[in-house]
Amino acid sequence: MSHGLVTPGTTIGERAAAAIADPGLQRALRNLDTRRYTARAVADGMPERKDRAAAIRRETLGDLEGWVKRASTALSGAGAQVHRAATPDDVNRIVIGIAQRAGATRVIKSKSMATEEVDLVEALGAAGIRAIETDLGEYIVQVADERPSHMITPAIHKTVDQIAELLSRVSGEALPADHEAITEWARARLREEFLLGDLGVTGANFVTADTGTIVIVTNEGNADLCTLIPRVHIAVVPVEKVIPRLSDLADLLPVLTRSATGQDISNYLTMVTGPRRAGEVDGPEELHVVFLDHGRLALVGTEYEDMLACIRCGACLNVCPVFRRISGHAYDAVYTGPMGKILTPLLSATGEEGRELPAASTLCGACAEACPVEIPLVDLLVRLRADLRTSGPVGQRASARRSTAPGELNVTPISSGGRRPGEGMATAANATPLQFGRRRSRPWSYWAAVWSTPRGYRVSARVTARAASLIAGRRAPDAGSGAAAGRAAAVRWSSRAWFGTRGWSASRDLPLPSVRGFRDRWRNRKAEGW
Amino acid sequence: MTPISELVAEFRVAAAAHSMTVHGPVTPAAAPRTVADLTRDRAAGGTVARPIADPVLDELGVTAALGDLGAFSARVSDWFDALAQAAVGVTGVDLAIAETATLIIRTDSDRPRGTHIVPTRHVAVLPVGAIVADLGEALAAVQRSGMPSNLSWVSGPSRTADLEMRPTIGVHGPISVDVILVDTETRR
Repeated sequence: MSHGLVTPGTTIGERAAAAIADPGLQRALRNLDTRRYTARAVADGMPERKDRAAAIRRETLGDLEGWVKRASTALSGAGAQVHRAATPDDVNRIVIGIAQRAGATRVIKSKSMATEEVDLVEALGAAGIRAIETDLGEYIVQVADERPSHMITPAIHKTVDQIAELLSRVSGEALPADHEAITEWARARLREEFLLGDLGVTGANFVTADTGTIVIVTNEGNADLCTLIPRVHIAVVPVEKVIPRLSDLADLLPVLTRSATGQDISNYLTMVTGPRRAGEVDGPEELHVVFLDHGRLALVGTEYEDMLACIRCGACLNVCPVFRRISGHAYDAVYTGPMGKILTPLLSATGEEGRELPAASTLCGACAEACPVEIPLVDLLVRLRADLRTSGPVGQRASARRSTAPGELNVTPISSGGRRPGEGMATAANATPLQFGRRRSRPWSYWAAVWSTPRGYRVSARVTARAASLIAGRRAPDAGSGAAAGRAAAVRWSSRAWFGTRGWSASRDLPLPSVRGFRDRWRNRKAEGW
Repeated sequence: MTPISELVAEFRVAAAAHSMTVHGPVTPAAAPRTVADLTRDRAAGGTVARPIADPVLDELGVTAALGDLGAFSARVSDWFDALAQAAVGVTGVDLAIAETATLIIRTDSDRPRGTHIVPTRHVAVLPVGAIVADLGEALAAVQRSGMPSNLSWVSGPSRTADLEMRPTIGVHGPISVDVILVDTETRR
């Protein structure tokens, strides 16, 4: 379903260029700086908890279907009705069915990436059921008819001036561009919705298999309100959210909230175990849990199964040098940033969605280092790039199976298969020298000789730049000229593939060389005001 | 076992970091008066919501003191409407975490979900013996006493950072959380 993008374009390159050229967006993105070191604080401040959290998230992966069954039994035991949805359409059909049977017409929602994934609000709207997002950031993007650009702070791409202007249209009067005033207005506005809502829809951060408890983390307290007044509560839960035990939360919760926002715990935490019980005066009379598969179970046992450990903390977005410049809408996907680049193509039933996303990475490894549950994001990106050379869904391929026989189509991980972050990256500390064949071949020896002297390096850089611009047929604007530099500074090799290199070039960009290289600019740094 | 005084000190530090206001510890005898005075102050002429019955509030005599303030409970017919108009919701707390200043509020037939989250301000009464050291201990205690239909973990007022990452208070629930500590001998 189509949503407005603040950075339009048909390719991620175009959308990224639009993002970099948008001063308002760039100003808004600066606000992410406060979240830059949250992941580091987890790694340094609670390394044991982090390791335990990573282990707990792997515990269910060996038998995910079994754990979902165990959780279903516990949920049913507590009085919840459990549904299984194979596809996004299944989720929407189930939720609409429950709403219609309950005669519900007004849905109040707390934030949930799973409901974004299945486009639930739009589906409900098409069925004549009005759904209102109550998380302030989600409400803002809903009013703007956009997708969230960041899974923790959905409206990070907007400045307070833009938000004031947007909400003034809803309010009918001019709201000041003031944080407190907008918060106060939103409280009054959304209170009306809370009091009228007859169906509450939430996601879940975790579902415990032992007690059948739905755990929802918020700072706003809106999940409490969504599960308070409506007669029916539906939680839409991706299957991998199941954790073995309630006690696992002692490690998972601090790691989640610290990574997400730097908080030791969220201001509110809602734990729902079954519907309203006999004698209770509030809470839902019916509780439904809809487990969403959407290709996830098929990832179990593949090289990509680590992705199912993700706890949606957003830490990888906050540290990503690409995300921090281009923001979420450039990805044109529900899940954005490093984890989105991997999850989007993996969840694609046709293999078409998000095909170009894994290429939009520098492979710098900041995401893998930040990940509190130690998902080897860089290794997965490299693997995906290789697997996406051929069409079709990635997750179900034989090549993605962990038990790949040697010689079969599969990329060799950069590292020796270690699964701890950092190890997968060719950093100065752990990189082994690149080996081309058994012995260094002659062309590489020449290359090494040329690059061993400063003069040789300078000359070769100049020759390479000239050659590349000949191939591309044009040159990029001066790298120093700000917004212009972002505009389409790359061409597709595919249109220029020479000498039978099409196989290699079909999925790669050839960045245009800058008019003036780094050395030139460094020499003139004073004049350029560095 | 960590001495209660240390847990109280830790709770105090964490509560300050979470924009909660801590009062006391007061003696059990002084609790009704302290709670009533603070609640009256926070309500500033508005209405006050309380649980139908609450082991902590009842035992300390706070429920009766709140009755003198005209506090209402879910026994009223239009509970949600009354709650939406309320200035203060008062709850007892029988489990809290020192490390993160978290109040764990249980739902049952006498303690509805809405009392602390809907009114404009939240006043919580916490016997110091109900404070445990960390999340792990709290989870164990919760599971031992059986999972209620709803547990609300409160570690500060209703907050958002969705506007340019600048924290603002009171987006949906309470704009303030006051915790009155009561000196009790017994631990949970």
